[in-house]
Amino acid sequence: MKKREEMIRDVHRRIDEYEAEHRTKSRRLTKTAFAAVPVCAAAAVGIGLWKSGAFSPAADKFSGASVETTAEVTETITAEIQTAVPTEKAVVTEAPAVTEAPTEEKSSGHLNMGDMSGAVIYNETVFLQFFPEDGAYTADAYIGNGDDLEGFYKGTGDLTRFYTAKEDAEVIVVEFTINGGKVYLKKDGISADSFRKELEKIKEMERNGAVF
Amino acid sequence: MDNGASSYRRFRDDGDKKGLDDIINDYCDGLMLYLTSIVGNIRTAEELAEDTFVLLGIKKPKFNGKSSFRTWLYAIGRNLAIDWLRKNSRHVSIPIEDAYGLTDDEETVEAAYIRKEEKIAVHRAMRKLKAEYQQVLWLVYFEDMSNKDAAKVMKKSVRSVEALLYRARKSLKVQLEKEGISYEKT
Repeated sequence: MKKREEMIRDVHRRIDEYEAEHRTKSRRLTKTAFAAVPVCAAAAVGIGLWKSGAFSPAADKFSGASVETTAEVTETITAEIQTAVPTEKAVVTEAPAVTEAPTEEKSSGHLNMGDMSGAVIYNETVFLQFFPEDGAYTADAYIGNGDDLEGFYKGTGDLTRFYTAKEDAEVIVVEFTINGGKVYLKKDGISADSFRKELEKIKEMERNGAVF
Repeated sequence: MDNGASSYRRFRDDGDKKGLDDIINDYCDGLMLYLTSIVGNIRTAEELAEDTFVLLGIKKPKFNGKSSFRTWLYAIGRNLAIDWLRKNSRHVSIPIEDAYGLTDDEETVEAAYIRKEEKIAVHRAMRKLKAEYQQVLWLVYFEDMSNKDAAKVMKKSVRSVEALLYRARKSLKVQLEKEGISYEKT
């Protein structure tokens, strides 16, 4: 049987031991948490990219290609405009700023390839990609697939399917069957012929070894 | 000795270790004897009493003052004793010297805590009663708790404590008569 002092001493010893162990545990937990944060963040980013379809084969096939194409074509067209437009304008009046030229080109029925991350001809009308909010348009009537419409999706067959939009007759919804992704195209003022010419230029560049 | 609440407040809120020492000094013997009535062994009761004080030290439960500090402390001790009984129900063994009477240790604590000779005789007679009778008699007659407080410690209704007390007294009377002691509570 313990004396009172012994009991008091034992009680305090056990409390101290518990607190020391508790402190060690919480310190270890904090260290583990700090180590785990970057791993969790990396995992979250990875999952985010995966969910957004960045790793899907369709993303490689379409999105990547169209981005590259945009970059190349933009450079080409801008170069042409910078050389051609100021000369014509200089005859008529004071030379306008070079930066305004693309707008005038577009309004006069020429194609600004910088906008063409996605584009098709449907009923002799050119539809260019635009970026509305998610869910702004819903697919309605089926128009055809990637082989049916002239444009950037030609040759993709049933991987791309075109629909009219329920909300707007001037919008086409492109659906990627491989991952359910959607792209929206809007009716544009440029003529189908000038668009075809630009498509020809791209094909020629491809034939000359350009990779988009 | 105050009612223990202020010592506990000093320990819990101000970190004054002396507050816990005071609680141990004031309540250790009573708690041990009470726990003996549950576990039937003074050594186990001593360990459980120590566990009760350690629990106060590490968990620092809040005493809300709805009962007396002693009632609250005994209720914590009782919970630990019940847990102990559950865990050890298959392996409880009472040392041979404990089976027929009190150990020296228990006699020492008993003498120090109860003091009055006649009460000591009653306490020894109580040891032969059922554990629940021992508990209720200890709380009401030795700790001078009200039936309400005893009910709180034992986690029973006041009515059932009253009934238990009635049966315990009858049983104790028979036991005292067997031992040739006549005892009337004054």
